[in-house]
Amino acid sequence: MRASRYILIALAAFVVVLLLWFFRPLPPSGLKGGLYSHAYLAGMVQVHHLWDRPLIAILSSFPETAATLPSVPLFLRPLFPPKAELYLFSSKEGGGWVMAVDLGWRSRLFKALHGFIMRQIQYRGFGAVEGENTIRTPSGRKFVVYQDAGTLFVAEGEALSQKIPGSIADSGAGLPPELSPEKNILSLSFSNKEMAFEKVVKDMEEEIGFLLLPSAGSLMDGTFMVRYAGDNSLAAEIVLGVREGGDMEGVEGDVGYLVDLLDRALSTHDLKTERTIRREGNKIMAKMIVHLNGGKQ
Amino acid sequence: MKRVVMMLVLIPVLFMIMGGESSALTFEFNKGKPGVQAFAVKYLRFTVGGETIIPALPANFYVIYDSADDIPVLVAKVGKLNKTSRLSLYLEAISGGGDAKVVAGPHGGKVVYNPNRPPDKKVLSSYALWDGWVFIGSKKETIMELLKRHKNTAEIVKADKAVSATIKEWKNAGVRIWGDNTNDRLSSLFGAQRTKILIPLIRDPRQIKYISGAFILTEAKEMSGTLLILPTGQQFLKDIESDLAFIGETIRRRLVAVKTPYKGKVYSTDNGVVYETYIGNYLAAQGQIVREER
Repeated sequence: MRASRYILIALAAFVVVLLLWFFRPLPPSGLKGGLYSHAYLAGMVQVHHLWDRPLIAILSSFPETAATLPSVPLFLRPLFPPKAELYLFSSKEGGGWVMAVDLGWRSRLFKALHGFIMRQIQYRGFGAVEGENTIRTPSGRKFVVYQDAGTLFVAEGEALSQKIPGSIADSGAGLPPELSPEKNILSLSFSNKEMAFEKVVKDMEEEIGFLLLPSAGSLMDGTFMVRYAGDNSLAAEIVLGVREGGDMEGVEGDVGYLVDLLDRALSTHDLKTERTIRREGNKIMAKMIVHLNGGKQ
Repeated sequence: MKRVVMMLVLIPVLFMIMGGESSALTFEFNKGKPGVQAFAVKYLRFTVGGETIIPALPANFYVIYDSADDIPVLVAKVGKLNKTSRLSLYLEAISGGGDAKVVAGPHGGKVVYNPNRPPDKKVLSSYALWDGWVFIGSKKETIMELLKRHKNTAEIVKADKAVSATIKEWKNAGVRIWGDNTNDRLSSLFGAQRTKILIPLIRDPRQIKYISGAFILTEAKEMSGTLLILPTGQQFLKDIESDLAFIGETIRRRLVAVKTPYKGKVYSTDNGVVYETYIGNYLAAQGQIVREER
């Protein structure tokens, strides 16, 4: 009786050690280092903050997101990596994007499941697996799903799919200094040095048939950040650098319109906002604070 | 059944109102004017068995938004109806033919309705005849309420002459619009819409006292006209100006993106805020800015 108890304890200890060994995190990939400096647009979202108040309350107000985030069961939430990064590139061989996710303690699990995930993608008809890491969708789009150390990369673009992410673009696109990731739930930086950002905006406008940022050609670079501003408030900030001789008033007008649009959309959900738009040198700076429950902090 | 309809602006007011069920707001259509018949057939969803009834209406007809929970009421002066006329056949189909039920109208006329049509179905299923006028709608209660509030038929479709006189297109317009916010009737309509649309175009409808507008259409799908909003107080002029400027800018961004000529001007006068517009092709204004649930 006593012997079987010891065996059980030893077995349990062994399982614990095995689990600890299996879930010990791999370090983030070194390939990620080059992404920021080569991208013309980089974005980051702190995934684990998506379920915090007030963000979830704001997202739940919108019918488009109401059914998604809150419906993720509590026990599944830890499986989501804490942070996801997105990088957009342009090169002579064609543009593309890379999503990089530091998996942390999930890295060995994902590595072990890589083959299974790829087979499931094919089995469920999302695309055909070509080689170890490449998927071609029925529409002809090509994706790379690649894990290097503790980082999972998903990339799209003909040029990107031929290479391991890391040395992708022709040259550095000159993004503004990297934003402090700890403070922000979401951040986005772009550089328009080679007019790649303007091209993306124009393509999008053509697709939807609506002018979102007609002054994009006047922009040099920009950042967008979302962070908490108290228990019941979120702050969003936009800083846009206007190039010399650019249409400062046009940029200011576009920012004003987009902020107004957002403000009106939020107002239907009893979300009160405070907003300011100002000029500082060659920069247009906009700030919007969103208060839950219609009240100020 | 829940249905999501995506639509964008035709003209500023249609943008705000026609997509949803409203009340206390009247649209007058004159099919005798160029382009109006085509416009009404395309954008007014009054159908019987999938067929539009607009061509069966007289040249002048009205669309009155009178209840936030119901579709608008179609109103026209038809005189004595010939039983074999196209409109009579439509009315028979609307009321369910032999199954139709009749109740007395508030002023002695009759209200005919289809008892087999579920009341939550927002389709034509009732009509009333009163003093040579026909009122066609969904719920009989909506029609009864509309009739009850007015002493005679002319009063139902009466616009404020003093306000309309200030709109230069009023006389020649194919589409006229007016709405009175007395007893917060317009506000309650707009208020009900706030839960259905993605972007509210009027931030605080209680600031509106009266809306009036007139639009001239052409066979080439051009649209030009003026919209005038009178505020409940001078202090709201700025807010209403900002609302109209936002509407104008939204339309401009859509039309410029699809390379359609557009002109728009918003300004305040002593009385109210004026929005003057010209759209090269109103069909091009369709898009996906306003989302409506039904």
